Amino acid sequence: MKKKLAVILMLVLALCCFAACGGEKEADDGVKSVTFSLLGSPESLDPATTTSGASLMVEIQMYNTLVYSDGGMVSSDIRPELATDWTISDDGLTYTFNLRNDVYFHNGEKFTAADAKYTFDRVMVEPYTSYLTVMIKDTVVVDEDTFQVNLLYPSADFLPMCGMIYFAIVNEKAITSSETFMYEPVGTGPYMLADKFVPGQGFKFVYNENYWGAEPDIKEINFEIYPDTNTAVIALQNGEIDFAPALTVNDVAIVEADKDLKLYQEPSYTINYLTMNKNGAPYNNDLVRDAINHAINKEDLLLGAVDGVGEIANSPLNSLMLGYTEDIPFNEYDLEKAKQLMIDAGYPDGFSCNLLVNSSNATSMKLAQIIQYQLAQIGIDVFVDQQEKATWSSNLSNSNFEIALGTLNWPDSNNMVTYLYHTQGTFNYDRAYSNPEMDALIEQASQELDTAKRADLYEQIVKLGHEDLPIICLLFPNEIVGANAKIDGIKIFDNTYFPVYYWTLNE
Amino acid sequence: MAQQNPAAQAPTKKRSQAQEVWMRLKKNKQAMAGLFVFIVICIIAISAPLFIDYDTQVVQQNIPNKIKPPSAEHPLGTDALGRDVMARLIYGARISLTIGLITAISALTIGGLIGAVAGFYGGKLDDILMRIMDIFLSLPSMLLAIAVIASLGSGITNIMIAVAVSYIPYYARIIRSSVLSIRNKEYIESARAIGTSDFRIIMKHIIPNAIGPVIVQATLGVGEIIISAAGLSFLGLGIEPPLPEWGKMLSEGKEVIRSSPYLVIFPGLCIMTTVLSLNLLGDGLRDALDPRLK
Repeated sequence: MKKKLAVILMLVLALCCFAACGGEKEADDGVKSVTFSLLGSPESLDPATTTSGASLMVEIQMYNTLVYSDGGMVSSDIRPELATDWTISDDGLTYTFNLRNDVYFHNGEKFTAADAKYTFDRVMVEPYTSYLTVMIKDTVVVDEDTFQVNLLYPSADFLPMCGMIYFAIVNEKAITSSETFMYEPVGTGPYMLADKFVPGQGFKFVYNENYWGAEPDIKEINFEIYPDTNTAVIALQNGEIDFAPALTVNDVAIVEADKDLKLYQEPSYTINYLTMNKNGAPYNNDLVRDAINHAINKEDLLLGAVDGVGEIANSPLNSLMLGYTEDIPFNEYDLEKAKQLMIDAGYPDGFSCNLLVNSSNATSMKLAQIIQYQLAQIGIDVFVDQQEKATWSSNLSNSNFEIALGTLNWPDSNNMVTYLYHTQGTFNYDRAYSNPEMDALIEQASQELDTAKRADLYEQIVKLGHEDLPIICLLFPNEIVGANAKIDGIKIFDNTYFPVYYWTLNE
Repeated sequence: MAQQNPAAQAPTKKRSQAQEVWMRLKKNKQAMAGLFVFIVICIIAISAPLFIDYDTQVVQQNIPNKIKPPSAEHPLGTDALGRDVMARLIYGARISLTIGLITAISALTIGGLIGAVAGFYGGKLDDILMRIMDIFLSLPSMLLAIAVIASLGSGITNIMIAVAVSYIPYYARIIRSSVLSIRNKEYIESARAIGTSDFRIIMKHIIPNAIGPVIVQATLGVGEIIISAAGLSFLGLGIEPPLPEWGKMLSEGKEVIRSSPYLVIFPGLCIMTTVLSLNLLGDGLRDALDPRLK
C-alpha cells in the first residue's frame, strides 16, 4: 500500500516538474515578440541613476535622447532624434536645439523644451552622472520647441554626450508625482513597460502605440534574468530566449555550431588593466613597474583568460577609438630584461606582493592566476587577494591595495584617459599618479574641437601614459552575443546598447 | 561502553573494548571498504611529493596547451591554464584532507569543551552556553562561513576557521547530551565522593565515556567539512590560487562544463569518493560502537 502511494506521489511530482517546465511562451497571437536575457537584474530603470549594463540595455528600448549617436561616442556620426536640428554658435559655447513637437510621453504628457531642461538639470546634479556635465554652464528654455545649452568652454564631447542614455529625456511630472519612478519609468521611446518592474524578476515591454517614429517589426520584448551564461545558452538553444548578450568565450563554439543561432562578436571598449599603487614602495620605483611590465606576457593572458577572443591593449584606447596608435609596443614580454630591471631597482631577490582582484569577475580571476605565475618568474611572490565586488571596489577607492586588476568600459577616449591618467581621475586612486604635463594635455584635448588635432593629443597622452606607466594595459576582450538566427538587423553599439527597435523577426 | 564499570577498568580491559569494536567493525564490509579507500587516499596524499614535483607539475602553466582532453602525457587532461589535472587532483587531496582533519579536530576540541562544561555544570552556565550555540545554529552554516570569510579575508587558514566556527555548535550539542546522560552515573558520584577535581572528572571520566558518538560524528564531519570547504572555494571564497583545491577546480571547470566536462567530472569524483569513504566508515563505526546492536 505504502509503496503504491509512493509511486503515485512520485508521478504527481514528476508531472508538476513537467508543468513547471512548460515555458512562459505566450500563445501565438501573431504579435512578434523577442525574449532578451539579462545577466543580472537592472536595479533601476531611471536613466540618471543607471549604474549597470543591464539597466542600459533595458533603458535604450524605452527612452529617447535629443540626438542619436550611432556607435556611441566614437563616431562623429550624430543624427537627430527628439531634436530635429541644432545650431552651434561661432564660439562653440551655445547649442540651440529645435525639438520635435509631435512627441508624447508614455503617460500622455506632451514633450516640450521644459522636459529637456528638467532632464539636463537633473543629470547635472545626480551624483552618478554629474561628472559628465562639467562643461555645461546652464540650460535655457527659449520657447516650447527650442532648448538651449550654454557651455563653459568649447567641447567636442558635448554633442555625442547628449546621445548617451543618461541624457534620456524624462518627464518632470512623472518623476515628481511618483515615489517609484525607477520601477514605473516613463519615457518617449518605442516600447513601454507593460505592467510593473520589480528588481530581480523578469518583465515585459510592449510597443508604444503613440510612438512618433515608424512602427517597429517587433512589438513585444520580454526580459528574463539568467545569471549564468551556461544556462542562458541552453535557453537560447531551446528557443526560450532569442537574444543573449555578454556571453563568455566558452559559449562561442556552442552558439556557432547551432544553425538556428547566430553569433555576434565585436571588439569591446572594456579594458582590463593592472594598476600599481604609486604611493607605496616598491611600486613608486619606475624600474619595478617597468620590470612588471616586461614580465607580463600579454599573449598568454589573451589566450589563457579569454581564449584569444579579444585584442591585446597597448593603451587604454582600442583600435576603434580616437587617438589609437600602434607606435606603443603591444607585448613587451622579455624575461631577461625584466630580471635585469629588478636587479637595477635593488630587488634582485624579488619581494612579495598582494594582488587585489574582484572574485566575481571570471576574466579578472584568470588574469590574476596567470599574472601570479608570470611574476613568480622574476621573483615576485604574488598573493591573489580575492574580494567580492563591493570590498574590492572600496579597497581600491580607499587606496588600500598594492597592485590590483581593474576594468573600465568607456567608448570614449576623453573619459578613458581622464579616469585613468588625470591627477583628479576617478580611477587614479589616491592621486597616486600626478604629472602636470599629462593633466595639461588631457584638459587641452577635451577642449579641442578639431578631430585630427584631438586624435593627435590623445596619441600624445597615451604615449606619455606608457612612459610613466601608472597602469599596465592588458587586453580588450570581445563582446560576444548569441541570438536567434531569425532576427535581422542586430547591431552592437559600444557593448551595451542593443535597440530592438531596429530589428526584424523573420517567422 | 556506559554499561561497563570504568572504576574497575584495567588498561588491559580498555584495549579489549577497542578490540571488540574493531572486531565488530571488521565484520562490516561497507565500513572496511570505506576505511580501505580512505587509507589509500591518505597514502596518495602523504606520498604525493615523492612522485609529483609541485613547481613543475602542479603550478607551472603552459597556456598554449590548455584544456586538452586526457592523453598519455596528461592522463586526466589539462585545465584552463594548461596545468596537469591529475597532478593537481593528487595535490588537492593533501589540501582537502588537511582542511577536513584540522577543521574537524579543532571544531571538536572547542565544541567538545563547551558541550562538556555545559553538560557537566548545568544550570545558568549551561543555559548561557547553549543559547549562544543555538544562535550559531540558527544561522545556515554556509552563510555563517561566508560571513566569517568576508570579515577575515580569504586564505586557507581562514577557510578552516570559518568552517570550524560553523561546526562547533553541532559538536557542543552532541557532547553535551552524552555528558548529560552520564554525569549522574554512580562512578561519577564515587569520583566526586573521593574528592576528585572537576577538571579531572571531565578529562578522565566524562570525556572517555562520552567519546563514542563523537568519534562517529567526527568521522562523518570530516566528509561534511571537505564538502563545505569545497563549496566555499567553489563560490570563489577561501583558497588562494595557485593551490589546487578540489572545489576550486570544480568551479574553474564549470565554465567549460559543456565543451570539456572532464574538468568537472574528475574533481567531482575525487570529492565524492573521499566523502563517501568517510561516510561508510562513520556509519560502520556507529554500528560498531553502539553496544545495543550487539
